[in-house]
Amino acid sequence: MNILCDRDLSSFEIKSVPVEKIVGVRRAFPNKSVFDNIKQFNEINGFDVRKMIDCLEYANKMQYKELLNSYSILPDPVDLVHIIDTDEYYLSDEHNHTTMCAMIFNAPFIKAKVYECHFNQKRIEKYHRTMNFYKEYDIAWIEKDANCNIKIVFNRNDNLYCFNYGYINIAKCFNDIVAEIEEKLISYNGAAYTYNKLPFSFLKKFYYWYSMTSKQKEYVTMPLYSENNYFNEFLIYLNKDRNRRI
Amino acid sequence: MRIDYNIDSENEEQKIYTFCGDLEKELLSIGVPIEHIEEMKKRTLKTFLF
Repeated sequence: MNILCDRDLSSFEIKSVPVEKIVGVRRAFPNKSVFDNIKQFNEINGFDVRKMIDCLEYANKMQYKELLNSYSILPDPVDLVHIIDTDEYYLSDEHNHTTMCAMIFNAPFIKAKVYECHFNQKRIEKYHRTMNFYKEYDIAWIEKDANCNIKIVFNRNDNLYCFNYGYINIAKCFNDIVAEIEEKLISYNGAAYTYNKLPFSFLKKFYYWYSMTSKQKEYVTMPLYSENNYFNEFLIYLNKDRNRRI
Repeated sequence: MRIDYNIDSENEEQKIYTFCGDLEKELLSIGVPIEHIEEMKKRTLKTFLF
């Protein structure tokens, strides 16, 4: 089940799709260009450097025209969702590296399993509410891994903060106090105000996360996946709670 | 095309991989048109969320 549309997994057609109509993949950083996603990436978004090198190296194994044509005869077609309403294609499953390379090399077509579907307006609205929430709290994305650990990644300039339940990894921030902060936040006991070197906005996020009950944490991470109305309830909770001191 | 990536080894938790050399130059060397490269620099990606 996906957010933007309803897809029937049993119904697909294998055909060549114009690469220029592919507007999204699963692994890339959104809002970064195709070029920038290939030029620099972090495995946190699912890209694998070995796979990327393997895919790019096909450029050294065949002539350019042969390379471009090879994407239309892939032995293992990529999975694309065709949004009928907009005539756009999104990569829905694996083959992110292959698809990104087809895009950067300027391949005209790519062989794909195509799932036809329409947008689900209800889910789109939920998606936009979620994105607004991300924007308000400066969240880059929220994800769950296979073990259902929840990871919240915040934007702050070029820095990323990764929350994994009870501990926090701070990357590339406040170079002189990173170690100290990391150590103290791991053993956080509710006294976040003592870390007055941290920016207020960061403390606020941290405070909210640790002041939430498990259920409330679920509210934060569920909106993208759930059909229920927890998200709105959570926003109400946050609005009521915003004036609490930290 | 010369292909390799540098690793930001200072950050073990979140390794940043950066293309060695000039990606644009390497793409040009195999025949990718400059116009297409310019387009790929502007074309931002959407994500498809499940």
